[in-house]
Amino acid sequence: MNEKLYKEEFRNILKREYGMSEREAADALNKFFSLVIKALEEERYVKIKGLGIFKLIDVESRKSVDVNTGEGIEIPEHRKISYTVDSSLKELINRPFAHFEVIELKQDSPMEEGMVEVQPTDIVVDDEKVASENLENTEMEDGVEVKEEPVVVEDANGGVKTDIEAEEEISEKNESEDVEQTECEESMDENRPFQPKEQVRRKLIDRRENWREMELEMEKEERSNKMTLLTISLFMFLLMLMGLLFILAPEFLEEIFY
Amino acid sequence: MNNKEFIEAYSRDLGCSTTEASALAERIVSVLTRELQEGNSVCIQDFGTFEVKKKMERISVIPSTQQRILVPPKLVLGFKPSVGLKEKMK
Repeated sequence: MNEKLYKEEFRNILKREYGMSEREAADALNKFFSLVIKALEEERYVKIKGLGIFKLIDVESRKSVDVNTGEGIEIPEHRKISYTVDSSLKELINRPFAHFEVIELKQDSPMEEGMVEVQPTDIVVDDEKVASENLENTEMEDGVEVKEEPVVVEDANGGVKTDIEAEEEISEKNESEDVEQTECEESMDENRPFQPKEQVRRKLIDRRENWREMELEMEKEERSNKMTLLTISLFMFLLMLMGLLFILAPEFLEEIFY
Repeated sequence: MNNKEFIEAYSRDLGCSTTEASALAERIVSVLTRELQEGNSVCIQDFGTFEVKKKMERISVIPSTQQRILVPPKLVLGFKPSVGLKEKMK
């Protein structure tokens, strides 16, 4: 996993698995990729079965800003290589995630413009940050009621914890979520569009947990498979031993049984 | 250049029959596919890098209907041409 495969190792794999000589493998590899380059130069388009399409596309000149100096510069027109994955390869690559489907989100409240682009990074990764930010915001706004609010939040947390003690993986994530939720309830009266965001967050977290559970289940299955194999082999072994005894020393068995 | 033409040119380069050439090409592609499936990236010098990247799930909106959908996470194959090749093609 997550290793880099260089040409030498590629060559070794070809040698090992197909019984090719060093030279054959090197030749095949080098010529394969240099031919792709050559074909790109000549025809600007190569399609390879099982791999995909390499294409040269024109890029028009455009204006941009130098990141270092801040000056406006013009990027001259040039060509670049575009690569499109073969559909079969695409499916093969995505197979571990193939069971996921697009989910349509239900939505009760009317859409507001600010809500259109909810970024998942905001929702998932920075849960705590968002929560704390929101806390700060409410503190800023309310001013006088600052002292009362934290108490409410703590209560909510405590209640939730006792309710769901059985579940293992409820940690900070959920706590911050609860903080969010309480605030949601508070803010719901004023601005309703906050609710769908909460729903979305719930869904995302739910799905993530499902995923984790599935992995755990798979591990369990593997373990149980191994156990059944072991027991079966043990059973067979015992049977064979009995058979041997029966053949070699029938008198001994008779003594035992009668 | 489609696949057939590519195999023909490949056989000419190698000096062997087209069937042999297509078998060789298939081997290369299958090794590449397997390595990528295992999550390794494949780096070919003077050509570029094939790499599988994980895209996080995200929420997107269908512009015509305003329907919000949750797009699942997925693994995507990307190709990054080497610097030399990029310059050459410019």
